[in-house]
Amino acid sequence: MRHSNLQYITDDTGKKLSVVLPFKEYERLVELKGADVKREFEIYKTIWKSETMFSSSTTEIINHPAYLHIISLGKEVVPLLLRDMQQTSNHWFNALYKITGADPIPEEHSGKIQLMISDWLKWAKDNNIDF
Amino acid sequence: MALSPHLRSLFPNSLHEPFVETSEPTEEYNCIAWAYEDTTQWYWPDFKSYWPRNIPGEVTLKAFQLLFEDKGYELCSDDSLEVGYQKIAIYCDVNNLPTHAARQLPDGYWTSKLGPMHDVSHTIQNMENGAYGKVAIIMRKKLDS
Repeated sequence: MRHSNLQYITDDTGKKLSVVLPFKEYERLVELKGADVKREFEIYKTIWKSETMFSSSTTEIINHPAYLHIISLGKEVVPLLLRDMQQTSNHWFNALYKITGADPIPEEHSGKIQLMISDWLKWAKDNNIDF
Repeated sequence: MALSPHLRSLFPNSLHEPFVETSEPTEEYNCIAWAYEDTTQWYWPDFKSYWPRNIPGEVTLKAFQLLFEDKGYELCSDDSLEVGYQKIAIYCDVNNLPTHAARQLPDGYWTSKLGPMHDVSHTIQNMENGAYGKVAIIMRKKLDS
């Protein structure tokens, strides 16, 4: 699902990252400071959400290029995924599975978002992962 | 609830016919679940989404048709309001892959959940030619008297 009206933000190299944003969200992003992984996660998360926000397709959501890019950030992004999932209920289940190799969600929880989030938060606690 | 410009840009037909947001966003269920009248889980035949075991776990129109047949729906020919029946519509993209489902309301309008975003009330046409493609099939089931 691609949008026709795009507003752009750029990364540190000046590369354009296509994203549709409310203007105040754009302002927040260009002012982001801090760790590279955190900023990169926030940028690609925003892209992912903006381009899949009306999608019901799990297939589309977890195969979106921005989602796959976040997976490529590796284990350093895991605490960010856990915190974001806890705060927003965003569907990071596939990303966490791909990065960690863990699968704490029992089959009977599939599709039940809050239960799946609880499964991952318990996994984080059991593995001493702070977020 | 006022319709956002972004929403209107993805569903251009909504500029011409009624298209009303009827709920706040929630990640808990999607359009397939909403059409299925289940707000407790997210339906899709893919990773960690709910999909009945007796339905083929594939993103095909046939599988989605079987999903609703399992709930008592059968194929029908049009989207008109019929007394005693409830209808659903499955939308597909240009590759005939399912993208969306909508459910008819008692007043003849339709209701859809837009992914993790709002429920909206709309006509069958003003959801077409936008992000979800076109209506591929319509199904109906007899309502309990």
